[in-house]
Amino acid sequence: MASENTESVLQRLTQLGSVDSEARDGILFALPYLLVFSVFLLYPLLKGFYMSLFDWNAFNPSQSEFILFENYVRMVQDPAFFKAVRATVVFVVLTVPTLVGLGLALALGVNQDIKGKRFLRTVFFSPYVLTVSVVSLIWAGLYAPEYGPLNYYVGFLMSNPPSWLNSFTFAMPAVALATIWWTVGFNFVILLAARQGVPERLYEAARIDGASTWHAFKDITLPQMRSAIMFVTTVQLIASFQVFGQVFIMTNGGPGDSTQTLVMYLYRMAFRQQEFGYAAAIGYFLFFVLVSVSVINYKFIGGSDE
Amino acid sequence: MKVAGAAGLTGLAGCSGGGSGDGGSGGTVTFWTLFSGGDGEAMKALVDEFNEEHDDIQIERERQPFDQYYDKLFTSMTGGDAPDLAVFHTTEIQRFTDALTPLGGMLSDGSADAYVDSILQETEFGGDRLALPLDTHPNGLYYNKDIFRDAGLDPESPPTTFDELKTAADTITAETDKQAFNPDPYNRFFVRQFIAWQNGRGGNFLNDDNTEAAFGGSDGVALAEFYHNITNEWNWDQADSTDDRGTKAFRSGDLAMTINGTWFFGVLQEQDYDWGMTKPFVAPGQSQEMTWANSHTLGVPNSSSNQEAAVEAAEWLTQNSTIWGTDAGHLPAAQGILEGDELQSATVWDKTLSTFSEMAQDGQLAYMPSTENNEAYKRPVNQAISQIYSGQLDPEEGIKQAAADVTKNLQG
Repeated sequence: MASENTESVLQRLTQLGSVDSEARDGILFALPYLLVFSVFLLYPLLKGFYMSLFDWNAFNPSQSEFILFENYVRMVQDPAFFKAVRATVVFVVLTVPTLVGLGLALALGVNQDIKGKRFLRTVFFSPYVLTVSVVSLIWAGLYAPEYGPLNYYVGFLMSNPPSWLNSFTFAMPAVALATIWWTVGFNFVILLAARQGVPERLYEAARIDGASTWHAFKDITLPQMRSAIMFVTTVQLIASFQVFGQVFIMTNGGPGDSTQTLVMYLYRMAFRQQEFGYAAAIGYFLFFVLVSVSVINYKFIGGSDE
Repeated sequence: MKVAGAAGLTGLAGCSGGGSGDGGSGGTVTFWTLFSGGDGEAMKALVDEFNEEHDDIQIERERQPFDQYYDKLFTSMTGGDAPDLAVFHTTEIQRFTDALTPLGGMLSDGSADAYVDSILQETEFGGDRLALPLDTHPNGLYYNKDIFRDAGLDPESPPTTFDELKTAADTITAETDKQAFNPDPYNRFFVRQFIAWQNGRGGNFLNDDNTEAAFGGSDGVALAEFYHNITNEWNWDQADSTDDRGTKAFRSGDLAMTINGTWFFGVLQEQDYDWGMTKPFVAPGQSQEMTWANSHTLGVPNSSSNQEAAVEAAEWLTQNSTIWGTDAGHLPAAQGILEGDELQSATVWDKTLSTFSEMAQDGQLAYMPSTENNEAYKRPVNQAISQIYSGQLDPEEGIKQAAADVTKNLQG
């Protein structure tokens, strides 16, 4: 009896030891990332919140004045902030559905048995490798009112073509179009990979049962690609809410702040107006918006794959 | 994780390090500039000359992009990683006063007397000399003499008043297919000459203690209507405020008259048409004659570990700046250079600098007000006039709204 007990305790201790070593290995593997995460994300995140509670003095941080939530109160009373929110939402609405929809359409198109699909794959993806400054300068050049190629051709159709980036009506759609051209390749590649992962036997079974193309798309393609679609939608929402480089270079927020997005406003507040505390508060607002839309997105089209 | 990445934005300020100069040591002075084109080449030549003449101190020049210069400088100075020496426009010094070293005790004997007094005064803040002036660079009215000839106008009699401008510009519009006049060829710095013309009308831009806009009254509205009429009534230019449109048009010979700074000399030297420059007092209602001006100055950040050498370099660069006048076209702030034969016998003197020098001597330079942060007034005014110019905003409503925005910004 005593020996049985001893044996079982020993067994349990051995099992415990193996669990511990697994946990230890896991932590060791995660440690490099945790360090990077802590230094470059967690610390700035906490420091940003700390700063948002102060009238921050950049040259002499120790002289910063603690004002609790005054920066947040100022934010909800600031018309320029709401203009920036509006501009950002307009950009998100113009880009996200198009980028996801167009990415999906291109992926399904290239997945067909067509000639030159390798070439098309390269063509659709290639703009994505450019930097934001290159893309912005190319498109600003295309949109240029007198010397730009776009207005050269539009000039044949109408006598006074619009000044795209200087117009309240066209500036944001013009920036959105440049962004779509630039980044749709990323969604395209992810969605193409997801489409190629859908088993062909499902479509064969559907065909045998007499399902139409539309039904196969609705009942097989979309549900099977749901996680990939959720992924690109979430990534796209985050990227579009954070838009900065394109508007900064192409329009500088104009005309009349109509394309000044939240991150650009945050940047101006911090680095031009030296209001780091207020800028940090705006950053926190954006943070909570992004957390919220990501959660909502996950609830609606994400969830389990089963 | 992606959300956390987004949230990293909130910590932008927390990561405010960067910059490249590491404070220097021994005889090396790290020096940040924002000059490109002809200015960049002239500054490179000046620094090379300094380095050749000095064995004990060597300047390491580093050029930053113009548009982001002050953002980068600010970041480097708050992060304690600033250069030993940097260029500051006089109107930007105010926001850096806490981070700049007073130069008084480190200057050579008699150094303060080496500069044109009115320019030197702009570098004094709260009783401290925070920088040494390199130049002043006012605006002038540049015009294309070939277009004047084509329109039947006398190329040696450019307009000097609003009435003369109207006659010349109307004639050019009627007689040629060129654009006649653009008041800000960059279409994003309207505020500069607006301030000068507002002063020229006898009005103020801000109130005496810089806490309120003072341009929302009849003078400001009259000027706003002038900008509106140029494009929307008189057809002197297209109703379009796209960046740099005017400077491209002037360089390509499609624009007859524009207002630009001293540096335009370097650009126009490369053109194959005949051009001239005159005083830009051409807005309506000018009872006093004023033009915009700013100065490049050299300042030493607190965090510099090589301040003595940096000050010595700053004194040499600002007092040996002949090439800054002859090649870059700026009006040197050093009295000896300005009055020297080398500058006064150079092409630039006849072409532009003698006229700029006259305006400086006659007290016709309007510096923009130094507020805690000039962005507070620059952006609202630039944005408003830009929209007025492109016909997207009513002039009176636009300038009054800009004045209200400026007051709000100044009062924080």
